[in-house]
Amino acid sequence: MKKETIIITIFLLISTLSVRAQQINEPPDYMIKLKTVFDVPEGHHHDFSKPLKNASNELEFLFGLFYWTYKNFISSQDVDSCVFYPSCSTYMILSIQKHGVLTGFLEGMDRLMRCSPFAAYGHYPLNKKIMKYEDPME
Amino acid sequence: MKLKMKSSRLLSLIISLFGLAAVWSQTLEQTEQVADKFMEQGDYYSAAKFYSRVYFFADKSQLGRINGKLGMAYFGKGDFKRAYNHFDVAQKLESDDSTKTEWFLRKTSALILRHQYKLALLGILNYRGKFTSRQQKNLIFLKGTVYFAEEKYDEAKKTFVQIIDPGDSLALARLDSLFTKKNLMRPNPVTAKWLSIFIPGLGQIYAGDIKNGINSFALNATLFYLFARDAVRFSFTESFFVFYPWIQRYYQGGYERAQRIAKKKRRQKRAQVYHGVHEILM
Repeated sequence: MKKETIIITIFLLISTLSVRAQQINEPPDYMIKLKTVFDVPEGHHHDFSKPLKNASNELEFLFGLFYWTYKNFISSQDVDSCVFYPSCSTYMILSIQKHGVLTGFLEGMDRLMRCSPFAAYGHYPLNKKIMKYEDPME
Repeated sequence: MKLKMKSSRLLSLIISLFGLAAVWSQTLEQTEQVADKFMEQGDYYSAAKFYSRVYFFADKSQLGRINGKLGMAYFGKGDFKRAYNHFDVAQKLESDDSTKTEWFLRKTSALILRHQYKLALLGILNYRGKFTSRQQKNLIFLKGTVYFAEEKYDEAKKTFVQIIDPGDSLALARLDSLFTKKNLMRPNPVTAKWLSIFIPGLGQIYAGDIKNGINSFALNATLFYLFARDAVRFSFTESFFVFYPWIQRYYQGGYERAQRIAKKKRRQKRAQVYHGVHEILM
């Protein structure tokens, strides 16, 4: 019995020591944090199908479908030419959702006419992070 | 009645004074202990707030330690600029060699996390303090990281190898397998761009984004077809004025995108390599 007790005690002592050794060998917090220094941020994932899902009538669904197709297959291949945030297409779809097809379409067209590097200067606050002029849907 | 009012006011004043006395009873040490507790819990925002209070009232002999702790709180918060400033002051005020070096290492890692690699390397190469063996290892790792960030991969590998025990052939082989041209230099953004200039979409496919490549090819092929069709049916000039703005947008957009995709892919692969190095050495 005594022998067993001694063996168990020694075993427990050794295991405690190994845990302690592991703690000492652990790298400090700043070295752990350094692991992420070259990580690439994934960026925002936009759900372009939202207007499709939220459409309240057939016409809104049709515009939602145009928007989804444009954003996924055409706008994604374009040079970054829109000077505003949100972009003109997003602005138009948000406007259609809020004010209905006719007013929304006209507001979108108005935005497209305003979208030029010369027109925007000084009139809209510049978002320096994305280098675009802020013109939110009101 | 008047006396009653007065006595009640007096009583509330006494109670308030007792309350104030209780607030006063919190010493700087206790405030620091509270901040330490917040640090342990990972609440760096509160920790920084309490350390700042201690910092304001602390005497000169405590400033080194408090600056270091404040730096650690800001470091935890991800505010590496402030962390760097506090570690810098802590390093200057500290008299103990080992602690001084510790603040220096933290300061350097804050610089690296702010992507100020040249400044970090300058500090590392000029540091003349004393190190423990563990600190020496960390310093070499930081130096290797700076070379890695500066894309001096041969120098980085040579530096990282210094930390590995020469007898540990497994770790050396793992490091070798990570530092390959395929892992660090591919895909090449310039190649991706030129591939997309010759055949729209090819650069995206080369960079691994097949969906985008097919999309770009289909869009450009349609526009080129429409341009050619109208040039034959009507006139070249007319077709040029109709389709050139579209072709220019999507053709240029395609090769710029191919370059961007390749750059991102390469950065992701490099991050993976660094994760591997970190796992081997830390």
